[in-house]
Amino acid sequence: MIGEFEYLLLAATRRLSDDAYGASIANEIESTTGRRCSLGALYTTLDRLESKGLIKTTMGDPTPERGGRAKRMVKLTAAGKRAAAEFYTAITTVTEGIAWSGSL
Amino acid sequence: MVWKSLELLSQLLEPTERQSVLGDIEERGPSFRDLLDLIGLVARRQFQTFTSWKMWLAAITLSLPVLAITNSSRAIADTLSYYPWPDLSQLSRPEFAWMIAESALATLALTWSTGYALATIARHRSLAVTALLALGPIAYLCMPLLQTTAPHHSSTSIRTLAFMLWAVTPGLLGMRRGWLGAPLTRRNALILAAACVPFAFLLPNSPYWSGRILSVLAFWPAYYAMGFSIKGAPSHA
Repeated sequence: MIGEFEYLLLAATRRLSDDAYGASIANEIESTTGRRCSLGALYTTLDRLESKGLIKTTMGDPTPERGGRAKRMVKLTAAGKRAAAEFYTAITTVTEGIAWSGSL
Repeated sequence: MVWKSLELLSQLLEPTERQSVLGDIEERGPSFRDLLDLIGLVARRQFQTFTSWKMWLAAITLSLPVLAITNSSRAIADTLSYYPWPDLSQLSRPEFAWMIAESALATLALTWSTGYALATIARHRSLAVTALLALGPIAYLCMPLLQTTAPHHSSTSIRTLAFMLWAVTPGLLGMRRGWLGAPLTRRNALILAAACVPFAFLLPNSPYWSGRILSVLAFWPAYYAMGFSIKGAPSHA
């Protein structure tokens, strides 16, 4: 099964759809979780997910706001969607009936 | 300052990754934390390179010509120190002329082509890692080369000078050419390979070397340069 950060990355990729690339994924994770997303961790996780066949990355076109540098575009594969769904199911199942708020 | 450091550090990444990482940082606005992140990413990438068997194979393969070069430059240093160098009149001595014609030229050719092969192989990876792997054995072997007293009382300065002239400078020039991805002309590549041939005869006679097959294998970088002169070096991304 995938890890928490891998899941966050897959979920952000799914949400961003065609606009998913390094910086946009990092921004998405930061805005939804409130935690800082390190580019180092992001890139090594992208590599790991790609080697597992859960995502596919390609080099996009260069843009002026990036100093003419290309983006590494990220696409979710069918296996990636299945892995994310399994993780989500496992988390919701194991959490069922548990109330975290107010408990120690 | 931060951006300059980021640009410099990113040179250790592969070209495509460098482009996407620097682009992402520029888009998000560079900060000191990004510099720390990049150091972490570079460290991970360097570690990954060390875990690849291909890199170790390359290092072992490169160690052959490196050993041959070290061995040869030591022999040159010993011969040079035997004469009251620099005394140009010694050039007329047959032993000295023979040494210059064969050993020194072969060493120059092999050092240049080793640097060339090393940089060409490393262009799409991290030059620093490959260079470190290849320079590791050189540094190790340099110690006795520069310090031991030979039968001819060759001094440390003569050995250092010989090593700089025959092993370091041409190697760096070859690396520069290889890094630019400029293949040699077929004629020059052939001359380079031919200049290395004396190694096959000289090295087995050396007290620090054994085996004729190893001697032939040691000058594979010259064949490599010849291969690229025919095929053409891969384009730089």
